[in-house]
Amino acid sequence: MSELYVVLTVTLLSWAGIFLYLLKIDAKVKELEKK
Amino acid sequence: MVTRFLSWTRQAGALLNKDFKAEFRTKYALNSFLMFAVTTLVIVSFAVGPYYLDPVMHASFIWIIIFFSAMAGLARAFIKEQERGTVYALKLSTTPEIIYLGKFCFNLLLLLLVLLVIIPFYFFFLSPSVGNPLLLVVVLLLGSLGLTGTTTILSAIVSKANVKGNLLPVLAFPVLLPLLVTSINGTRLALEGYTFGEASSELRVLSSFFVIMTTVSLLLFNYVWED
Amino acid sequence: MFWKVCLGIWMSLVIIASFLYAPPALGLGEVSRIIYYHVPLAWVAVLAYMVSMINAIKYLRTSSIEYDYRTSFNAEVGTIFALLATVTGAIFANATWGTYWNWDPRQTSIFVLLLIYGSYFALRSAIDDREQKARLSSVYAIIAFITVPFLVFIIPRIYASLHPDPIVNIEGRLQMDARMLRVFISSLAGFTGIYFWIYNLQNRIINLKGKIKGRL
Repeated sequence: MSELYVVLTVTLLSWAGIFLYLLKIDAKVKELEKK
Repeated sequence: MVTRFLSWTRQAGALLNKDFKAEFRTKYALNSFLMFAVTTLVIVSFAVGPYYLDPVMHASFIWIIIFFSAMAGLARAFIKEQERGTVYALKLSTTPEIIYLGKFCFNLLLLLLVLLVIIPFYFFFLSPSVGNPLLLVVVLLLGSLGLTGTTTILSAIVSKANVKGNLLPVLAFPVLLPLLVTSINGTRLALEGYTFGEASSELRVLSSFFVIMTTVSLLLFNYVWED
Repeated sequence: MFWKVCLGIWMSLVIIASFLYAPPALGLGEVSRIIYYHVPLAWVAVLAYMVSMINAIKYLRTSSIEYDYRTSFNAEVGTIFALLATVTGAIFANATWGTYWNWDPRQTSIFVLLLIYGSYFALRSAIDDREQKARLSSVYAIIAFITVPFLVFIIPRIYASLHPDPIVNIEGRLQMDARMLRVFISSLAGFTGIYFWIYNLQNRIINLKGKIKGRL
């Protein structure tokens, strides 16, 4: 049962990582657009 | 309308004639084609000859031989034009569609010639039992038509790449996979002795593949040919 | 900006729901949960490829290099998603049937999709001239895509007759528990949202590229 929670946590953390990465790119692009 | 069609056939025929004569002088493509096919056949026969092979395996081996020797033999259709510098004359002579048709017919002729030699050899070396010979011929024919149609335009694309290397098999395999799978299955049905009716779905897929791919190739060839 | 945060929260909820809310039905245990990721990944891969092909057609019609950037970019995105879909599928296959790969119809289709992408990039890298690269790879993208419907329709039939495949394709089953269906659809929507974000990003990058070039 606890295995399930491990996978769940890993998945959530991976998603958090991907999400923040996309946000970073988004911010960079926005900054370039403003110039 | 009719006269235009006739002029097309005449032009394509002239192209075919030229390629045929040029090929006849050197026999380079035909030789590499045949050599590859025969070598593969000999290797297969050597390796698995003594064992019993069921029709599925026979069908697969036949098409492995056909596919890879076609890659070897048909790849140079356009490259040799570039190497000899005849590309420009070719471009001036006629429309891209005619060029495609002419090359298509030439490649088809080459492939059928090789098949005429290789298939009897295959039967000689490996003696598969053929249930429905006519179906076998039809499947081989339809498969060859589809194979030639796609290989012709793909070899034109390859001829324009810088690193020609072994690009044709890389491009051709994903595109030809449906054709290969269906042809192998159709060949298996023919060897096992099924009727035309039972193989109808395979035959339909093969014919539609040929028609669709050749039509698309004709439409797109202009973009490949121009520069 | 707001919708991106929403998407972030949405996907987090979907992930939690896929593990805790949806039942582990199908008699396969917890591994079946991978379906909430595997199928949407494959769906996005196909979507990306379709967008790529449409841009290839547009490039051939207009010769505007901008479409070629889109064609190759979407092909890259599609490849990544297809790879992830293949990996998740293999994990599921191993847990359920014992082997990672067994050439069942769906696996073969995704494999060929990867091959097509691979050949597309191989072709692009083999041509130096920018315009020729664009034109020839667009032609190839179209030709390759035409064969995909053939695969989708013939492979299931071929495998039925070649090997009596004892492996039942679970994904074909449309009867899903209500809760499972909810999570599944939500996941599908979420992944599509991710793709649209990436698509939006790439469009902006391409426009920026164009502006910079114009300014030079």
